Parts: sequence; structure tokens; C-alpha cells
Amino acid sequence: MTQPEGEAAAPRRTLFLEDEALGAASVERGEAATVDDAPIDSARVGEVPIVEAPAAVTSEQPEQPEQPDQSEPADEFTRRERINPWLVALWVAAAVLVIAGIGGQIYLETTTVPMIGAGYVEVLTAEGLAVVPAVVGALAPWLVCIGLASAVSATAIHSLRWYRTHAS
Amino acid sequence: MQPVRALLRSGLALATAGVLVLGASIAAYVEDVRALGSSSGLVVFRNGYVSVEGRSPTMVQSVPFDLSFEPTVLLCGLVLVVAAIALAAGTWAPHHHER
Repeated sequence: MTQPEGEAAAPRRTLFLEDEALGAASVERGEAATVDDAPIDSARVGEVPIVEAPAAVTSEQPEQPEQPDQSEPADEFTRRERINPWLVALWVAAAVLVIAGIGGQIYLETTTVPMIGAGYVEVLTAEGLAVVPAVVGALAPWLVCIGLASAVSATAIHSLRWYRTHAS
Repeated sequence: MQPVRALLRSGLALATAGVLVLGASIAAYVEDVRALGSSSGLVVFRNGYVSVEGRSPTMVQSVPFDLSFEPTVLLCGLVLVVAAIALAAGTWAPHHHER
């Protein structure tokens, strides 16, 4: 009971009836008989085995053009639009803070003038009163710390975004 | 963006307050040292040391500039600003710009 290959595609509700009284002749010729077309003996309806059409019959569909894979998002954003401006700002802030802190430390080490000796100058400015060295000395180590923390957080954000992009 | 804005505003407000109290402290210190120099004939040297005019530098005495909470306020504001930027960077998503 096989269906010849190359048979025209039959509607899905087409059935092959194995009983001789219910269209066996058309089955031998390889024609598909539908439920509606086959002569039905009402007394033997319960004995009729109904066999679903083979997959070869229903699978021969006209070729459809390939649809794009919907699982992959379309590249609808340009490279410029993908740049995270806040991440850029975080990197810039980290660089500025670290450079400011290190610069402050260098300033403290290079501009401290010994009180006893020829280095002191009679001045009445804020810098001469050691205000600036005191402020820089209080802020510089913490500026370096905050800058490094910013760099670490920016790196963490980069890694999390990379993981989201590549691990899925 | 509500938490980002709140963090940014509070951080900027705290940093501004830190700068203001730091400036007020510096102004008060400079005023004190100038008043000391003008009233007692002291010469103010670099690094905040003062000396009696005409005497040797070994007679100088220190007038230090001490900071208390001012840098802490400024740095806390800075930390809040950086945290706001980090939060915005972590929650940012690409979007089309208006053309």
C-alpha cells in the first residue's frame, strides 16, 4: 500500500481507504480518495481502517523563499549608535580622577619647601599659607581611589555586556 | 533614569556643598593668619609658619591649616556622581536618534 512518488500534493484531509468496498480500485490506481468521494457502506463504516496519507505526499509543498532567521536580531543600529555614552563618560572620569590624584601627589612631593633654610618666601597668598598643599594632600589619595574604582566599574560593565552578548 | 537623576543631583549638590565649606574654611584661615600678622608684627612664611620680624628662622612657629569634614563632603559627592554615571552606563540601551 504505497503511494507513488511524484504524486500531486493532496489536501491534508485526504485519506487512503484500505477496504475494497470503499474505493479500493482508486487506491490501486494510486489515486487518493477523499472521505467525501468514497462510496460509503454504512453497515461497515466501523470496520474501515483509515490510514493517514504518507509524509511524502504532504511534504511536497512548493518551495518557499527562505525567510530570515528571526532568532538573530537584525543589525539595525549603526556603530555610532551602539556606543554607550555613559560608559565613555565613566572611562573619562576615571582617567581624570587618577591623573588628578597622581598629579597632586607629585605636586606635594616637588613643591614642599623646607621651613628652615633658604627656601622659604615671605608671602601672604593662600598657596604660601600651605592651604593648597593641605587641600591637595587631603584629596589626592582619595581621588586616585575613586578613579580606580570608576575604572573597575567600567571594566565590570564591559564584561557584563560582553557576557550578555556572547553567552546567549 | 529616575535613580540616575536622583544620584546625579544629590552627588552634585554634595560636591558643591563640599566646595563651599572648603572655600569658607580656607577663607577663614587666611583671614586669621593675616589678622595675626598685622596685629603682632609677625611675618608669615611659606607653609603657614610665622616668625617675629627680624629674628632668625629658628624662632618661627607653625600656624597649621587643619581640615576636618570638608574633604569628606566633597569626596562623598564625587562618589555619588561616579555611581550615577556607572548606573546609567549599566542600564543604557541603544536607541535610534531622531533624524
